[in-house]
Amino acid sequence: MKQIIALEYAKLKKFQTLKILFAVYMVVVPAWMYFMNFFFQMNPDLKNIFTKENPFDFPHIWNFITYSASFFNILLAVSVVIITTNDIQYKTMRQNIIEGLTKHQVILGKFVFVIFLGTVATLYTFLCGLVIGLIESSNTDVYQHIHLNILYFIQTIGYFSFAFLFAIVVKRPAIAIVTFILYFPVETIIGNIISPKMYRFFPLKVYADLTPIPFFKAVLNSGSRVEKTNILILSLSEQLMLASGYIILCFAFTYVLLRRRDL
Amino acid sequence: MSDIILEINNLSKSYKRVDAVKNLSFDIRKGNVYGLLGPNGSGKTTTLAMLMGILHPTHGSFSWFGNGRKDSNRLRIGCLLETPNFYPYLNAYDNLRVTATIKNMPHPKNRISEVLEYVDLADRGKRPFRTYSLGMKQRLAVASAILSDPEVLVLDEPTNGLDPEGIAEIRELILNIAAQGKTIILASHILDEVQKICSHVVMLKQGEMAYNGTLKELLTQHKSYNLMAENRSELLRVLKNIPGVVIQNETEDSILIELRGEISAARLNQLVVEQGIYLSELHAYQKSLETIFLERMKL
Repeated sequence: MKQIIALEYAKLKKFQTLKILFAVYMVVVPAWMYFMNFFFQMNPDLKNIFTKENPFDFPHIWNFITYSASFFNILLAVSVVIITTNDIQYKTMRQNIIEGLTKHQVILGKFVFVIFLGTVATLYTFLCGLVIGLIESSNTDVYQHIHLNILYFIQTIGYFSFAFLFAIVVKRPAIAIVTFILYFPVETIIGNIISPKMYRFFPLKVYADLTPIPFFKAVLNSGSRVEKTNILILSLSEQLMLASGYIILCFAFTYVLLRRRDL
Repeated sequence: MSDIILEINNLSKSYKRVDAVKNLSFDIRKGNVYGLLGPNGSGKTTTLAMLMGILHPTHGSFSWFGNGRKDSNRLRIGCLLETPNFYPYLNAYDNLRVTATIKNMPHPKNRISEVLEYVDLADRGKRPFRTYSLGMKQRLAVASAILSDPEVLVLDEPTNGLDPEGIAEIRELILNIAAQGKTIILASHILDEVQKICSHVVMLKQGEMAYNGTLKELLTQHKSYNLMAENRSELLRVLKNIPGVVIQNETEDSILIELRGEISAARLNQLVVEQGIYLSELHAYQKSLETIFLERMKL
């Protein structure tokens, strides 16, 4: 395991694209929070449709920031696509195997990287939420709903492992990035055409629902806009089981693909 | 036997339209330098790629070090296959660091500097790989193959893109490594190089084995001689009637013949004298590997 971590580190420590994408993520996540806040302040009526709460107040901020940041972890998922497809295009994955790496270790290396990236993204998002909350919140009830950060972590792992699968299947960087991003709306459309009941079981929907739209519960509770019976949300434990299942499936499938493939 | 490094049995690789490698079987023994020869598309790289675990054989088997196809076998092999493949954004040092990590080398720092020095990339190797010339890329690939001081070296066209000086350096390097008792498999088009370096030759032709044996046997399989006599046309007439003599080339100044079967040069001389012809010239002619190779590929 130490060897795998050392290997991934040796490969990626000077990879600028990853640093740039991460820098963008670091700027965009808090910036978006303040932009939304500014937007709500400008349009208080619009905001009041959703909630009367202050989104920066604990515990609402955990929901607000994990939901907002979840859009931008697609950026980091793209870096997973780029790194993996580069490994194929530069034939360095092939070279690594010639030198003695096993295909199992190749997958393990990417898994380690995905976990690392997810951990850093989650820690950063958590810190952003904590700092913004401590500055802006009218209370200091930090711990309530803090578990949303863990759900966010699982979501990042989910997106990243899905990105990894896409990269291994598609192989070409540009096409892999485009199809990966296009898959998001495509899944939504297909899911809703088939049936909204089935759609909630689709992989990206499962991941997305881990960090649901903030104030959604408020909307639910108001009961005025949406019929409760039409809202199909799985329980948290069902979601977690499905999400973990999809993550395992992604890596298992890439392993089978790599094993069979001539490099 | 313990000196068998690699055993190949009926190794084959078929694609939809072509059979790239057909029923290849041979052994590689410890301490020898093997030349793997064959024209473009004869299956050399496909064979090596199967042996290095990146292509799945259609059928047949091979076994490294008597351990079958285990992944860990490759840790004991240094390999340069086709084009040099490295991370373009890393410099020579960092790229070799990746190799050293895969090879499980505990303290690779000094060794990396040593091999970079050896291939003359110690200074220029500080820039990222993507800025390298073809020659520099190739030299880095050689450095990476020898980095872990492996028991076996598999080199596919190692002098590709190198200038004459670079080619001579690589030849020197291979001979040095061979002198340490290591086993080397060298695929190359530059037959002159192979002739200078290799002790054994495996020839491939359209995916099939065309020759497998020592270089010496291959070179001396049919002895060739240059002959001349005062009366050239009379000599020719006599030669044509001696069994085992094949006239390969005749010019105004000499006749090139090949002796097949039992007949020796001394016996030939005797037979000619018996016919009243005295040779003014008789000397052994060593065909180059290139000539032999081209002859065999035409068959």
